[in-house]
Amino acid sequence: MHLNLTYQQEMVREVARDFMRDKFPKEVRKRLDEGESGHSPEIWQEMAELGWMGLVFPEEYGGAEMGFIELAILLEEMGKVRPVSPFFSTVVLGGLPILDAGSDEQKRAYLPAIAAGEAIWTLALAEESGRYDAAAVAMTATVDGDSYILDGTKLFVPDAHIADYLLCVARTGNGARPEDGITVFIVDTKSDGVRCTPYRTLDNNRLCEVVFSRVRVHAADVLGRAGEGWDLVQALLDKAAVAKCCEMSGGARRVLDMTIEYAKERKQFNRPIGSFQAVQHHCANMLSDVDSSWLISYEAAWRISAGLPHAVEAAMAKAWVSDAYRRVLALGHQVHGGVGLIDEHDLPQYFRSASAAEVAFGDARFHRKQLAQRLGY
Amino acid sequence: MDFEFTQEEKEYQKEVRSFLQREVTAEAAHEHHSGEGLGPHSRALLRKMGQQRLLAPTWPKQYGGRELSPVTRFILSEEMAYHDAPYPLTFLEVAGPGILHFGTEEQKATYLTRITSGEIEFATAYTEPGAGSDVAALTLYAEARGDTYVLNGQKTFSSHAHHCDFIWLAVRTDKTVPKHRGISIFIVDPNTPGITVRPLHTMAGVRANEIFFDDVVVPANNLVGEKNRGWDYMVGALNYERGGTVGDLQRPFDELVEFVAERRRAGKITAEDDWIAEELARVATELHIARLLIYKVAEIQEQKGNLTYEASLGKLYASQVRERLFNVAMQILGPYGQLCDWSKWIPLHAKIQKLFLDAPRWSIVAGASEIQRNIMAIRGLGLPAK
Repeated sequence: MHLNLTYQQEMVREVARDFMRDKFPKEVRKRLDEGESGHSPEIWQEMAELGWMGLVFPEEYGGAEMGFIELAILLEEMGKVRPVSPFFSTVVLGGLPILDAGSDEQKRAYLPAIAAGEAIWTLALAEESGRYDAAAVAMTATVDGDSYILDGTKLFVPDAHIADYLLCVARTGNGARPEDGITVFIVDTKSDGVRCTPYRTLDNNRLCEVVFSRVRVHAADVLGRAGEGWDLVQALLDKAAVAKCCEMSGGARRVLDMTIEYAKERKQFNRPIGSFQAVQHHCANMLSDVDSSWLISYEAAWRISAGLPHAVEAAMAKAWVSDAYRRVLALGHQVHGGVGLIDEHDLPQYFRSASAAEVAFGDARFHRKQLAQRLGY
Repeated sequence: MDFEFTQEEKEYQKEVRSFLQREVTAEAAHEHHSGEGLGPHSRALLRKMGQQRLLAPTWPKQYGGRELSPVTRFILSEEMAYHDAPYPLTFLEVAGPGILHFGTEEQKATYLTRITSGEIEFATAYTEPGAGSDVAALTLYAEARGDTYVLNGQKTFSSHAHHCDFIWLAVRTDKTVPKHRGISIFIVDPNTPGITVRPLHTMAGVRANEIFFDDVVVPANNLVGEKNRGWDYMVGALNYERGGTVGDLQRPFDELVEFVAERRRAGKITAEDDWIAEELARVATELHIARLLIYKVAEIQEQKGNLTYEASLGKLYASQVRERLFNVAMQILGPYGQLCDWSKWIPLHAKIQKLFLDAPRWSIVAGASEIQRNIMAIRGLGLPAK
């Protein structure tokens, strides 16, 4: 048992920390929030030059051949500042499933472009129900010669308005279980019949409605096997949940740091408020949630890295961290008092991020139910 | 990074587990659950474990240990708790490390191998009626007289005093200096004239004791380490004691899961009860996290790092999981959970009820939760004490 990062991993962290601090100062974040796309192609290119998008890809696809742990470190550092780029969508929701389930041809066609920062990807899964399970997939794809015709509406698709490709989960048949008959398609967003409408979210990101009207996709652009796509979607969702937890752990750590800093500085009754036990105990409870979130997230990330089964740990992580991050914010706000409520302060930004992250890929209750199923309760 | 045990750690776990599966008798398990502490069967079990050198895996080989990594002591406590064996926390994690790190050479030679061989049991006696969370305010006074000390005062909530071979005792040796600087530790034979032990029982039937000291004469060479350094020794050892374990929670949790599965098969749990599965998943998650937090303590010890708040967090978190687990268990049992007298109506052999009644104790012993939070805030986060 060894719960610390290696020297090399600490280096990855240092580079990520400095980059996020230097490239995303408050003015830049504000400009991006208020802009049309919420995206900076210039910073995106710099991230590509650091090798971030190809971090976990093999060298032959322009990658750095690192593991999920190194990816977790990047996400944690991004979460400390703010996840404000299509990195998550492109790498976790697009790149990883191509790497895990793609044919050699698909990998050669798409991974090098992702690594080079030339293509933005995302996942079109959720629909009107807002759920992340197989039963929620109603969108249909019908065979037409050597192609499929996709029809339906996807919701809550992150970054679709700037994406070049999306993985679209559709129903090509019906079986005994809702998981049967699901197929994953690689769709070029410039295809005829794809219409995207972005919606601003409470964390100043964009989630899109993507309408597919008779969109033709060639059979060669099926990812994995037709009709048997749910397994790969589930694998993707487990990894996405863990990746999201790493991002959230970073945010929670930053909120704790900000709160401690403030509690030491701010004086009332001629004493730093951090010297009052009522405040100290809030901070101790935050520390408990922050440390526990980090450990469970990194355990799951480590298991993914090591190629071990991780379905249980992934569900535990998202079930725990979703609640814990919210509690950390509630106490952080309590310690900051009035100043933390003002929108120019950094704290509201984390409150917003925590709320959005809580429901991403299933909230705590959803994952506890998944866990109960996986453990046979 | 590696969240799994090493090969060596796994082998030790396997060895302890198979030993306990084979050797824990019904009588020893009964003693363990009685709340009365070590009886003859428990002691026989400990001696047998001592013969196999299982009891102090992290200690130096010269004293009967195996020099394994720090996490093995958590493996030991988890396995013992899981298999209804009495984990001898007092001597393995308080008096033992205290003597090992701070004792004189003579004390090491006298006690350590007898501890690892499972022959002797210590009681810890720190708390007094007027010194609970503020334990440094203790007043039991040891007055130097020739090459002896004479002890007068009272201790309370000492859980092993009625069957121990030695008392690991904190006393005041200097009243003129600040309270933390005038404390010393003694090893005291409980049969010394002038010592009276009176029973106290918790609501769960766990025995604690009051100990009265009336002109008790103790040889000066029973003083541990240096005079007036006792506070440092207590704090050092508390970091061991507070590492905590959830081994004794895993067992009733597993039984609860099995109980729910049986009721489900019998059609007595229906779709309306879907909160049960969710609550079990919540407890499973928290048990898992508690274990990680506890292992983190071992990790820091392995890296020879400085433990500041981590043991406190592990202890605090584990006490919260305990409370949740037994609340959920009682909710699942519903009205049956309150029945005490054995009958066909009692599910899970009323074991849960006793554990439920015992749960509040764990947010008090070895430092109340408020004290743990103080430590986390001040030593962990650097918040000002005043």
